Amino acid sequence: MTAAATDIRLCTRCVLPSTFPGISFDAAGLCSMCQDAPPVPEFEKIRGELRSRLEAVFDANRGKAEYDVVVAFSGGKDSSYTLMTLTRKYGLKCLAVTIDNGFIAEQAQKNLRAVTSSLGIDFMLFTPAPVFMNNLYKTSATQQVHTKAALTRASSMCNSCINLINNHMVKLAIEKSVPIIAGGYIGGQVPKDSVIMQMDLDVQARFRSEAIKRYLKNFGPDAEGYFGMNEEMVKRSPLRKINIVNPMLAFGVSEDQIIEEISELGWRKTADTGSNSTNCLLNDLGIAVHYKQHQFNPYVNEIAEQVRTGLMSREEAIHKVQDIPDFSRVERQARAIGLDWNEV
Amino acid sequence: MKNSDLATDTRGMDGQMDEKIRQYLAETLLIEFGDAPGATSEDENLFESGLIDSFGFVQLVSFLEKTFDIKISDDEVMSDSLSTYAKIRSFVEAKVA
Repeated sequence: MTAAATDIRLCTRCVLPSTFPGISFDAAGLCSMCQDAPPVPEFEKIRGELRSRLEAVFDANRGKAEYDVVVAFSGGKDSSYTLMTLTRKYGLKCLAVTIDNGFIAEQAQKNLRAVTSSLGIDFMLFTPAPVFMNNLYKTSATQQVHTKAALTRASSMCNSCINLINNHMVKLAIEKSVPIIAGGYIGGQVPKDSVIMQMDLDVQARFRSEAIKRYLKNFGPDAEGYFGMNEEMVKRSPLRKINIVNPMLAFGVSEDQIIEEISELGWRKTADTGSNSTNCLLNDLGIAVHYKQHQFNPYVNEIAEQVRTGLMSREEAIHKVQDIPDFSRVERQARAIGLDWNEV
Repeated sequence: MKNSDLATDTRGMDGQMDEKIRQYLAETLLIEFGDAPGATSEDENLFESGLIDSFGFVQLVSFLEKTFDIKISDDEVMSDSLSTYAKIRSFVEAKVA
């Protein structure tokens, strides 16, 4: 573990550090996000309202297509919990879709099968070419690919992977006319307004055209296949809007509760994915690179949000955000994607 | 200033409106305007420059609707009205007028 620099100040309520972009502190050491946040008990009321809105979206779209929801399923704890809740509590017909980035831990691969098998749902695995993915990760670690705001929510490597996954989910939803896409993102990983977002396919096409230029420039011509879309298919689709939902933002469950509940499905915690991931072997490398470049843990926003909303203790949060892997811990992963630490 | 302080009636207060939009773009989307090296100009296309992605755009629309009590239609979202800081400011001014 690399000790966090002693001159970095942490918020006295959550754990956001003074190195976090756009943050300021009041005289009591409270960060600007905590100054805006309601007290912990208020969050359950907010989550209750969000759950009602989610239920309305589910009720309005249930039974309209082959599947009700395409779920971006990493095999990690949050997407496993999302899949379980949508299937069992809300009775939605889910299609679980996993992108195999080449770095899914062995236990996480077992979890993919165990969870989908226990829930009795269909499961699709898509494996992009490893040569493309390795280049994507290496380039993301060494070039400026994403907006500054995106880098407050995840490392550059994770952002690239997430965007590829999101595009694949949209593609599948359009192909199969599925009206809802669900992610397992929790507070801090996505903007606060992301519990339910109606994505207009025409608006999305506009952003895609800008984003694709950036991806082609950074990741090469094959990026078109992973980040692009058959625009004719989009035009022909009877869907004009897709509901993108992130139900975890409305559930209000702690990590311990999540793990306890999904254990019943045969899900087991990984031992080789670091303290902030339950599926990806590359995650620690992403954290190490991000910390070297930006001097804050890319998970700090989500961890701080968990503290702010009463779902994680500050002590546990401090432990997690200060667990910055040093290079010896991620050397093997760096080698796997051809990354020279000096290039970072 | 806290974000909660922003949710006040801003009609007819162009200076404050300007400041609120600028502050939001700086604090939430981390876009700094000005003449300093690396700063963004008011007429720079925020999408083409890679300063706002689709998440950022959803956040921006939500912020403008809530803060200035306006409704932004799908057609307006699809138009070029929110592509630069100068256009965002003019758009909001026209909406609240």
